[in-house]
Amino acid sequence: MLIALALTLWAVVCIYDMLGPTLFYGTRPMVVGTVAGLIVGDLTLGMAVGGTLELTALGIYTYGGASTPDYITGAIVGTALGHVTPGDPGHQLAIGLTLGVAASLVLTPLDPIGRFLPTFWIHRADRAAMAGRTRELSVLHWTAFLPWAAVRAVPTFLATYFLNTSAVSAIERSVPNWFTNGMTLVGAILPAVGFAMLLKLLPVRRYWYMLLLGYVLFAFMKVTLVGVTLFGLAVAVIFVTLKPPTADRLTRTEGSSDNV
Amino acid sequence: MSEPADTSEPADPVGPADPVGPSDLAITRQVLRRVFWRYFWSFQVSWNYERMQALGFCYSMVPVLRVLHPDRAAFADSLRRHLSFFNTSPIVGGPLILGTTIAMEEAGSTTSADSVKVAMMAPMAGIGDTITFALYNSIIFSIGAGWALQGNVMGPIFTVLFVLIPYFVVRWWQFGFGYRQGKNMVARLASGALEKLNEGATILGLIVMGGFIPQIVKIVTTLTYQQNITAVKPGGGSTVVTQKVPVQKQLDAILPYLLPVAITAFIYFLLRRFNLHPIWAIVIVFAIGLALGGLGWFAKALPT
Repeated sequence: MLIALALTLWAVVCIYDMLGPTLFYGTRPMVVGTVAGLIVGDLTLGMAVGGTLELTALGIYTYGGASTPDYITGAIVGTALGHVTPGDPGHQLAIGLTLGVAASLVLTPLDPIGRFLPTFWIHRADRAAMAGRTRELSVLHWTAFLPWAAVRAVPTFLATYFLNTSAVSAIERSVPNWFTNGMTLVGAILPAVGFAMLLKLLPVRRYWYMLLLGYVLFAFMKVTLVGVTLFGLAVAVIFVTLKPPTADRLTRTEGSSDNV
Repeated sequence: MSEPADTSEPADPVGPADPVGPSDLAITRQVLRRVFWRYFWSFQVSWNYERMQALGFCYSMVPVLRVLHPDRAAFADSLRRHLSFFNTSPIVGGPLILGTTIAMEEAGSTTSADSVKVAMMAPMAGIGDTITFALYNSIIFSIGAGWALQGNVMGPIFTVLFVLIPYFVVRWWQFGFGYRQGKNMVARLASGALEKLNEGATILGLIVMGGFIPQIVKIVTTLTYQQNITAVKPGGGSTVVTQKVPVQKQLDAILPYLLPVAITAFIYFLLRRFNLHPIWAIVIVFAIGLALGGLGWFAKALPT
């Protein structure tokens, strides 16, 4: 019971760290798994589960608010359930990893719920702002974290309190296959909404060819994103340098008397 | 350094022309620090699909806004302004924009404070996420995970130290830099320097997004169609063979990443043409994804 509560608290601390101070990058499975290992009393297992998940998830980050597999819960549940599995360390690791990955994937649909619910808070915040009530604004800001915490804390507690290996696989079995497939696709295409929202804010009609440039570099020429970024930097500098100066030069020669 | 505008400075070129005029209510270091800590400890805790980091930004700005707008109605209005949609990279980008916005707000040019937020957030989201995730983290975490798998505790410790210290320093520095440069930007607004910066950053952001969208948005079709091929038998004569051809292969031949680009363009079109609420865009994507994925016609990736 105490261990389950400690692991649950750790899950909440991890998601808080990602949203807030980012002291140790709480969404990355390696750190999460290592501390979970310390809590259950098997540091090596925690590092092994976390480290393996880390390398599997390398490059999986949430861009523009996309849902990614929930590796916080995965690493914690995997470590805890691997620890209670009878057998040698190798077997424990195998079981821990299987259940950890399964838990990360099964629980992925919960993440959008945690991201959606604070929307109700923001509408109350609008009213608080309109009336200039900053105390209420602060309370709303901090309590909007509750859905984020809940979607991780509840499954972590349930999975680690009823510490048996059949629990996670039973949940996995009870979810219909089509639903899992559908939710996987939803998670994969949801970033499109974030991108579309950003595009709406940018002068796409004027600079559509810049989008095209990035697309061609990545899709046809297989340039990595770092390469695309550096290329983009060069193009941006060239573009603003070569652009015929308009009011710019005039004001500069006239010194500081550039008030209109 | 990050002290408020000095009166001994040569005449502020923007001040007199500004409709509101620079505030004579000084923002002290203490106030700036309060904003930073608010941002540091809680920037994204209220993140949501509709307005993302808006409440976090507004909450962080409260100490500054309270000093700059002693009038209750003006204060409430400034809170409302800073509750509008905001999302950027929280590590590389967020503090920079926050610092710049404070400087603009202090100079009394609230419209440029609003527009600089909008202009900077998208490019900084692309640049910042690439720097922190694609560049820095992938190196730090793969090294650490490698050690952790060998049972070496130095792995996690190494990673935590390389997150803890540089991540803090880069945010603290950006915040001060944004504030100082923000003041300069206000002073040089008329010289077009900010316009150039915005334009450059926009171009960079668009190019990066052009590469990002096909990389991040993932959808392929698993559909196949039947095709009859007349094959020649080794012993002479011919037979008609029915072959399954994956549709995705044909799509890739036309244009790589056609589906991810199409779905993003579709949502962009919906948002733009019908001024669709983002929540509805999310609901539509949920419905489409669940239906197409559930039916098994489309998937995140082709089975290997």
